[in-house]
Amino acid sequence: MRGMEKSSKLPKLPLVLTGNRLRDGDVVYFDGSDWTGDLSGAALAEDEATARRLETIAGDSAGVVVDAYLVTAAKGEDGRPAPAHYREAIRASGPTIDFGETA
Amino acid sequence: MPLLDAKGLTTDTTELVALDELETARDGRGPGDRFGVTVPCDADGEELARQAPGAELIAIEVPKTGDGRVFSLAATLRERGFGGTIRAVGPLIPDQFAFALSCGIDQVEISEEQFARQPLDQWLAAAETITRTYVGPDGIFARRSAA
Amino acid sequence: MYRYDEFDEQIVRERVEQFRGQVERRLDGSLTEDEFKPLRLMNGLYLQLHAYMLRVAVPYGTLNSAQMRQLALIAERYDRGYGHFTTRQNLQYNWLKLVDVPDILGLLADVGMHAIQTSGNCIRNVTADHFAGVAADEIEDPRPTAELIRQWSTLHPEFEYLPRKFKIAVTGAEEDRAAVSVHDIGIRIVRNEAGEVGYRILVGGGLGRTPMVGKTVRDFLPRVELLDYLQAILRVYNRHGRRDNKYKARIKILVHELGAAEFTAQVEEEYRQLERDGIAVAEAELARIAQYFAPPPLDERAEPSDLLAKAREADPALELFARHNLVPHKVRGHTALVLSVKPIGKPPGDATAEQMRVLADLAEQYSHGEMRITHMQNVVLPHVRLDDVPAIHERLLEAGLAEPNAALITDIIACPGMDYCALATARSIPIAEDIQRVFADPARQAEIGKLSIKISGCINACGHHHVGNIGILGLERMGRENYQITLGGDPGNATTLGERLGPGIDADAVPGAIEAIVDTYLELREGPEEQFLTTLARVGHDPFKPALEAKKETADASA
Repeated sequence: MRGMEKSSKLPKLPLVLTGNRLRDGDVVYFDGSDWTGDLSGAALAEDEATARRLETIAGDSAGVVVDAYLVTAAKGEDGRPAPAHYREAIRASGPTIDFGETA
Repeated sequence: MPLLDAKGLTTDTTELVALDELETARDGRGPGDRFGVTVPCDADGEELARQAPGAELIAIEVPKTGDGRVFSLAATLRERGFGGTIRAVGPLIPDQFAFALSCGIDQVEISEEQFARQPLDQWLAAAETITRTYVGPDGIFARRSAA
Repeated sequence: MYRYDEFDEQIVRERVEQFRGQVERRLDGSLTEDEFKPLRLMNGLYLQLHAYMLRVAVPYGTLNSAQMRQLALIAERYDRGYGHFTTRQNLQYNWLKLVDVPDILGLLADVGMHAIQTSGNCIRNVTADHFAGVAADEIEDPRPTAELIRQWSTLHPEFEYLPRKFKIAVTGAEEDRAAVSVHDIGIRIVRNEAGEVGYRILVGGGLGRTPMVGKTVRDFLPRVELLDYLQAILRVYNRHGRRDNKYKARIKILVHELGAAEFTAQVEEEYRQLERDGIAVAEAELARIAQYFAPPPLDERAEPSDLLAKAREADPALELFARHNLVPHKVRGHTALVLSVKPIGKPPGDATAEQMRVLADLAEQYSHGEMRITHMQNVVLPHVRLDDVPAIHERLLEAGLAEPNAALITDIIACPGMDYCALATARSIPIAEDIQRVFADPARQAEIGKLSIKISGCINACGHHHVGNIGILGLERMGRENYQITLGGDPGNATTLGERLGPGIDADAVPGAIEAIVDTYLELREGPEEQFLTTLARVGHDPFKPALEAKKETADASA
């Protein structure tokens, strides 16, 4: 579980706030006002104050998003967030294998 | 804090003391006085049944929702002949109520915060969702062999 | 097969409505996620990387055609048209929405299925030998015992909130195909000197991060005492199992910390004191349940089958298939047919809705409507006439289920790994697919012979890597996937855990390393009949170590 205590140590900046939507389990990212399925549309926190604000949102959104957590992201050439770790890359783009009817 | 039994909200004025004070308390009791003990949920049920046979109530402290020791402790107390009230104190949820009652727990004491989220009707409904499980005196195994 | 009576039916129906209510109370805020999570897990529902995953129980791996068709329907209606057979004989859907799950459970209940206790800290789905009722080396069909335990453990009020998950497996055969010694409780059906049938009880086995082999706590338990004895074991565990550290909470740690002798003494003491109310139950219930598992009416037929022999001669693909995928049946002229859900280069254990329907049809037509799911993630048609094999093979070819690789090197067990699993540290499926491609040639596989590769994408070992002849464990090292290779694991009677060959390697170096290990084996074995484990035992790990070294240079190219 990735529960977040106030003033706990933050992951390395920059970072985004992500989780899975309660109703359907979809991967979502906080875009500054709402949750989006698109990592490149996520709000990228590049300083601690912004990150702490996102942390508060994580706490307040437990009824909509399960176990929201802050995670380190990369800043792409276009300035938009991109995955910094292979786990987040798979979360953002889905399984790396063919599956189901396409397998 | 809210106290529930199988019928609904209840009250119980039994005075709770430490295990080693139970005997003294009971010696000096007046008419209608009831005494019980509070124990942690890692208590030894068999020993407890021996040490506190005169207790009117045993209150078992449950530290976490998922801590199932309370169920085995209560069941052991019942098997070893404890006939008083058994109370679980801690963050049990309505969905555990039926298990608690089946194991011989009579009362559940929860926090105000939890009771606000999970009011009485949820507890009473949850206790009746599953009509019967396999084990126990009214369980499916017993029903089948009676048929 | 077992059929629900009115009581079984009622409990499963009520459980569906109970979960519907629990979902509603989670959505309306009555339940927090921390409160809801154990409830959904006890209904087999996980939140994985991309969606909710539902693990449907296939008790002791047995299911009928109507059930398989319902699984196909659910796959199409609520998932992405496929499902995944697991190493615990279950089926998982990967792409569900929470709000759909109560309806899905309702559809399962319609065919006598459920997802009760397929996860969570409770007694899980009971597994058994997938050749139950078929194998010639069987003392007794383990499924009546497994079904009795399923019922007893379903919503057992005392044991729904154990320190950790609890897995029970039963085998009735001499060869242990259910890996009972790596379960929390392993049950072997045995005969004592007086010829009576009873149980040997093993406790405290398991894989995961602390693999251990179970210890025998009772050599012979009279069979009517089973439920009471389980009650005593579970009560000792529930009271004393560690709750301070989830990695030390399994019963194997309790048995290890107390010592097998002291643990056994505590169980026996609890058993002595117990109110014995299970004995009458076990006697009556076992008899009642056993009726449902009466073998189907199979007439003895000629063996070998002329028809099959001629067809094999004429068709090399059928010849390969028949050589590897037929398992002897105790009734003459019949076979248990292993249908490999391991086509080369595809996710091991995944079956499409269409394939599920083909399986259901074939079972109906040729196997008395019955199928088995194996812990190897394959499907078995347990009661097939040898004469029917050519016709079945043709249908399997069309459906992509005719891979002639049962128990061969490409019959790989792999957990879902990081392509799906929230706990994974690395991917498993692409590794399995790459290895399969290396060994795709059926002639080469046949030359290598029986050899098991098992892959886990994290230390929790769902892919059973510890007991693979070759085990692969995917971890993370400095932000990259890294794979450790173990050699020498064996899940059978002489349960052995594999030993690490050396430091971990990168993903793209794994297929080459496995190939080098296999080539070394082929070089060193004394003949084609000497299996990998025998060679390894003779020559030790050292000759295989260069397999890791040689591949290091190529490792840098990986992404």
